[in-house]
Amino acid sequence: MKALCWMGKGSVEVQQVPDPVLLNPRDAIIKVTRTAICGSDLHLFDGYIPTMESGDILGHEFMGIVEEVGSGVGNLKRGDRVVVPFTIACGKCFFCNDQLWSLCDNSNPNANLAEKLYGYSGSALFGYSHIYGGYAGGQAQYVRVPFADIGPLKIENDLPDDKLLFLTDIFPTGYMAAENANIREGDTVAIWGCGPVGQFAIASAFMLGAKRVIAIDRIPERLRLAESKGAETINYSEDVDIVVALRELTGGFGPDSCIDAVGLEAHGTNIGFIYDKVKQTFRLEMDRPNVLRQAIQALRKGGTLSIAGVYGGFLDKMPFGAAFGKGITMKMGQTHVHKYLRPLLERIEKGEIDPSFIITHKVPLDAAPELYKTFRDKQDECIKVVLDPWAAAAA
Amino acid sequence: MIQNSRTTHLDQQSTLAPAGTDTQTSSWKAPAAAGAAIVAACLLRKQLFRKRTAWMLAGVGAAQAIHKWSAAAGNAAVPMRGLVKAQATMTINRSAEELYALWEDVEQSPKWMERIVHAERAGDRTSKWVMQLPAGGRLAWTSEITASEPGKKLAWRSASGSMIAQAGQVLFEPAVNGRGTVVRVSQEFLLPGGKLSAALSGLIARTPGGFVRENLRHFKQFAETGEVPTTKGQPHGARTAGGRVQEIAYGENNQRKPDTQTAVMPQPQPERQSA
Repeated sequence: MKALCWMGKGSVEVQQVPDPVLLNPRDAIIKVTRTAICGSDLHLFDGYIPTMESGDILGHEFMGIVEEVGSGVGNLKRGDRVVVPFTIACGKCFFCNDQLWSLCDNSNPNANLAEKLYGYSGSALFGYSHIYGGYAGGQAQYVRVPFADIGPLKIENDLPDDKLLFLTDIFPTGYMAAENANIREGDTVAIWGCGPVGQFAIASAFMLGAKRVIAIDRIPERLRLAESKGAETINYSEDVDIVVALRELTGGFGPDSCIDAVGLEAHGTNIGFIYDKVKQTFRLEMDRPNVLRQAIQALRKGGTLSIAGVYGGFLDKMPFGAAFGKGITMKMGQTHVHKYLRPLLERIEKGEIDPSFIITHKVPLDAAPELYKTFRDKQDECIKVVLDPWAAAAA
Repeated sequence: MIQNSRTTHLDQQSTLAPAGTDTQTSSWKAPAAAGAAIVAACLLRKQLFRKRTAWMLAGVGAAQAIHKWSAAAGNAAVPMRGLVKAQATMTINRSAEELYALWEDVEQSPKWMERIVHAERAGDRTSKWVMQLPAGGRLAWTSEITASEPGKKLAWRSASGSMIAQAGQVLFEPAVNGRGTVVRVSQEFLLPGGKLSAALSGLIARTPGGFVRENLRHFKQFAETGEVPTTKGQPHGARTAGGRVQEIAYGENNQRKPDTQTAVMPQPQPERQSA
């Protein structure tokens, strides 16, 4: 089959690889009909996530048709159409039972690696480095899905793939970011990052009762899209100080909630960004927590900071005094996708949201290497790339 | 209960400690030789170097080992093996009775225990085990139960005369808040080269500590989900030379024999079954 393989920092290739096979009783093989490039794939592409091996198949946003199931999968059969969560969860451990699916105790075969870095291991993810399990991803024609009796959501409607695909990650991630932000009716929410997760966080914040959403980015088309969904926007490449801008916009009060939908590769124009960029370049710092610092500073007293952007290691110069002094609440973590699949599918079916609004590029899998660059460099007004693994390559 | 010690010791009838074997080796040479052989085998197994180079290295290790062992043969007072202890604790989302029964069901052990390719009940209190060695070859031994309290405790040691000397115990206690069962495993191994070769063995397979911990993890995964998660056998693209080094550094290191059989949770039995 064809699959997109990580071949080193800044290098991905579509290669011919063997088809996946069932390895465990609760496995299923899925024929991938749609997959997408996620913003967090760019962290892998840029070499910021450790424990990648050249040849690893990427991709954690995918859906498709069940091709084959193992003896332990009773609820799916060949031909079923499914959406697959990017987090892999066993459904049997304490954490799965507690709805903390992305903290599953049992899905990571390399839990010992994660324990060395984090103390305890979270769940495994598809195509997201070996510390997160090393499972082959879904930017491929077929993919093996472990614990397939628990994760994949069977789709009974005939909505097109493009409306359902983002249930795998970014819609639930944006939704959980808003839920974690403890939004109360009439609140003001500031959201850093107007990429796909930021866009879903904006939509979700309104769904959960926010009166005002202030979205922060520097890419004009992303700011325009945010505005079209009802957000006010700040272009940080024009505004010098976001903390001041947010204070002015909120009448000197500060936003009730701040959402970081950016993560470890934050950009900026301030001294903090330059400091992080230099340290990260020389591997003195794994993450660039520029957004986190701003968000902690900007948040109102007693407000909530919700972190959806991915962080990997140790963060420098965090204003913890400000966090403590203002008595803020922080919530974060990988998305418990399994918990949100059904409720968010219902919202799509009822027509409350059409997640395909963020798609800007639809290309065959063969074009993925080129689109990784386009997406990373924010060229061609690229916001979200959707891949068809079976479409013929463009001439 | 105030727990000052985090170490769970084996009973007198189980432990290898009073077996008349010193816990110290007298020289650096035996561990160094064992280490050299292990490193050579590691390089060979990972196919980093061509076979000839690896065999040369293995030869050096073997020569040193023979030198050391022949010297030791003339001096029986010098012990050849050192005692290495390891323990691990995990909370498993199953009842103590179920877990006790699963642990006691030795026929299912190869599905979760690393490197065990065969295990069978041999008598009322004995079982036979076959292990696949990392460098090739197999090791067989007989194990006997030294203590058993259904739902609470199992202890075992290898029968005298076995090629491998190891002992262990597993304790099952109810966890707080209905979270299942706290399982504590303690094991002892008599290893050539003692602690140094134990540490070096991490290069080729696992340290004894890693072995005990990962086996307990597999046991938990097997008991909770019916299988041990793995990526071994999944597709990937071409690995560059760097990719192969990366694979050694942080690729999956599960030494379990691949198995597609799901767990069969044995019914807890009030009485031990006779052979």
